[in-house]
Amino acid sequence: MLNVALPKGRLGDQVYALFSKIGYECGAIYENDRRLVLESPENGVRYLLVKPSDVAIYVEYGAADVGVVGKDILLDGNPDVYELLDLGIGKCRLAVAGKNDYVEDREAVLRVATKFPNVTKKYYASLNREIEIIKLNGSIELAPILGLSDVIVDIVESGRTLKENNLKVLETIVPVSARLIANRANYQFKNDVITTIVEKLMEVLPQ
Amino acid sequence: MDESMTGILRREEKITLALRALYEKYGYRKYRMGKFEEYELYLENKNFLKSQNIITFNALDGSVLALKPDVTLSIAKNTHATARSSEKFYYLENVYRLDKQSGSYREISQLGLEYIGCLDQLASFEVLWLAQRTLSAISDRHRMQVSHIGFWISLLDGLNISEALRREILEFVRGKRLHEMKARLREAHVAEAAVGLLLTAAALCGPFEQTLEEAAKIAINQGMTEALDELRAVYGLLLDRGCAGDMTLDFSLVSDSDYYGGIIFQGYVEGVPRAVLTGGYYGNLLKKFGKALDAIGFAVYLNELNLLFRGQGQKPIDALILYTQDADRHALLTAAEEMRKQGLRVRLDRHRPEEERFERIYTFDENGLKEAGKDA
Repeated sequence: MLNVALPKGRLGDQVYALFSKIGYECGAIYENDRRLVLESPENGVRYLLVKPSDVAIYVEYGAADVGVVGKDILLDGNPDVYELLDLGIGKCRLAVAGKNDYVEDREAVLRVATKFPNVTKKYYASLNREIEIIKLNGSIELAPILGLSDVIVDIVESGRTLKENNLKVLETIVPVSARLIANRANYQFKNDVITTIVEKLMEVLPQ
Repeated sequence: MDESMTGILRREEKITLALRALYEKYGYRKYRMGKFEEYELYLENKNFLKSQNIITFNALDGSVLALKPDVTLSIAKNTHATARSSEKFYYLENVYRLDKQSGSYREISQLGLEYIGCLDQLASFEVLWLAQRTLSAISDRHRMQVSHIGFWISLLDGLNISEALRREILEFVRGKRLHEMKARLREAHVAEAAVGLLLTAAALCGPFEQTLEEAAKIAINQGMTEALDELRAVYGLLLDRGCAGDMTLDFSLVSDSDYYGGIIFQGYVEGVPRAVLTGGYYGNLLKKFGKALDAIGFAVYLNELNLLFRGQGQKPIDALILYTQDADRHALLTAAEEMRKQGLRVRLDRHRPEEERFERIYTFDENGLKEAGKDA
């Protein structure tokens, strides 16, 4: 039985569609109940529905053999896992954003609100810019509006949320997409299954 | 040792004893070292450490000491081995490292084995063989992943890859992030032919002999060929001794420090999400200490075994005797001692302790010993 950690939400639905296309259907997933573990013994797969930011942890600690997670989360958490494929879905970017009329004061310490403190630290360290990080867990866009921070570092997909809050992208840090990851030890023991999945996924992925 | 004594050991303690016996059988000596080390040692050799986080404190004379984050560095510094007089020993030591997830230090119990001197292929075989036997002692379901750093160094040398890009490449290889590596190499204007070679090398993983053959196809210089020859020779010996079945050759296994230079390996057991055993050739570390010697060894992370045997917990105590204040003390002590002589573990108490389990519970009052029944 292969344990697959799926991120709850839209990305998870897309990933499940990919997995069912290569033979890992699981009828229970359409029942839309509140179960967090969905199993298809006939296809040898068990899906674990977890918070997107926890997928890498489930995989790193071996509770899931493989999982699908955004590169943003991998960059920030730096889990010790294999990253086997770029699935090319869930595309977005990690970007710096600020108010439409924002002008950076180069003399002051920059206050940055973000969910991704590690990537943010690394990015500004590479620019040799002194910053103060304000770690938030959601509604990051509020921070510059209320003057809590000068800028934010967050995921930008269409840019609509930013626009509606009178914010704009100032700088792209890195493009992001969903990645297939695998636990290092379980990769040894379920090598055949995992290798097959990678090969099959490569066939169905848009190149 | 009789059963009454080994019976109280936990699984991981029994394994530790079995492994010590195994290493002794091959002529390895137990080596005990001091708890602390001069901080300077780690400062000067920080490229050989996985993490720079070290617990330090001041000695009475003002010098800075550290709680060891690593054992091998101390061994490389202190070894008395020479080209004509090798050393074989094993150790059981605690090291202190930062745990990324909790952000605090952890004490990690390591059982390690080292072979230092002027070594040949038989030496590499012996250590790998002992590593295999070590995994077998821990679990029937185990896998050994083997690689050779020399193969990578020679390939990168042959392609004239810069030092900075080299580190990036090895980081991609370690994570099997071939898609990212490809993009990065193109961005760095590495020639297409070289990109192809690097991607092929990074994807080399599978059954030993088959992967060796595939690797031979991309060997572009003497260094790579020599690395493959060494792997072939050692594998041949292991195969001959009947313990190569669960080994895979996986060139994505590269060290995340400058520690290892030749053959490297990692052992996994089913049920533990990380490697429980890591090892390899580290002659380059000894050269840094001015010793022109070879060295190969491995360490087992005993802490990880807790994960494997968790839930097996402690067995219930055989008997609890609840005595009353008016019980005949002499008779009570004699009765308890009688039961202990039969090999039972017996606890005397006035009240039933809440967080303890017992096979049987007895009462002892003015009428003597009476069984009160089995524990619920």
